[in-house]
Amino acid sequence: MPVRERSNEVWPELLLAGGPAYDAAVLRLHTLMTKAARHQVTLMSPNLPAIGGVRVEDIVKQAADEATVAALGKLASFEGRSRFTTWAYKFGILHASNEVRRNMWRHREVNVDDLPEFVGALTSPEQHVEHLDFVQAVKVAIHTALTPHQRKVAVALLVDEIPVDILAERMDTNRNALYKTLFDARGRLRTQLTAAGYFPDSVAQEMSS
Amino acid sequence: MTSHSSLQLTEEQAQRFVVDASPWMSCDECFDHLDEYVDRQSGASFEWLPAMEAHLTGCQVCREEMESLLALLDADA
Repeated sequence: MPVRERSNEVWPELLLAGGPAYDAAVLRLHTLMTKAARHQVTLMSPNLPAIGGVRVEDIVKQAADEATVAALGKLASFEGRSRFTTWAYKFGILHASNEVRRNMWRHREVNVDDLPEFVGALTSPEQHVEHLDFVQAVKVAIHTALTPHQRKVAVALLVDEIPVDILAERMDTNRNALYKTLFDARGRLRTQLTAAGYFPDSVAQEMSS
Repeated sequence: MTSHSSLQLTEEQAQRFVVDASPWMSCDECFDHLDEYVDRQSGASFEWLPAMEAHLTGCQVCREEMESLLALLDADA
């Protein structure tokens, strides 16, 4: 039966406390995780350094193991709003993508303190940015509207393209916290640039809504 | 604007800084809804849908994982 046609009910054997039926269900779950992990690693493999087939299989296995444990730990949160296979696959993809990125960045230094800093200050940012071209206006707004922490995080994520989970690991924080920093930074930039006359369409939408 | 010359931005990079990713949703919440999001029937609406779509616009890693999940499900079909 094609996977997409399977029931969205959780496999009842996984709810057992143990025994052969439970072990068989966990093995089936691990097989799903391995499939999702291999799919993700294959997708990202052009970005992986030449590490050989054995190492790739290690990454797939490790991700599948971690994803199986994570899914079993979250089994109670599955409420049947999607197919169980879809729910399971997302754990395999998440853990495999984390593992691939960890390998890609393992030997790459991330020194956030060395990221581009800005010197000087502008006292009236709106007046300064309103006649600049867009890229220059964004640069000025990055300098004037953001805190040093927001600036470092935003530049690391958006210019240096350091993946958010890798940056979180190196900064001893987590993915949610860094994304919130980026979210707030974008809000500040849009506020300043809107005040300077950029994004007229979004202003019109906000006024009409 | 020599005081800003240390940061070189392309037009595309500048656009990334001003993506409108509101309303707010965290990466964890996005992961929680991911399976329901990709399995939803076309036209289905959830109260968290605008925030989910905004998050996928603003978070490259979550967007890539969502696209990968869709591709895997398509391959299964």
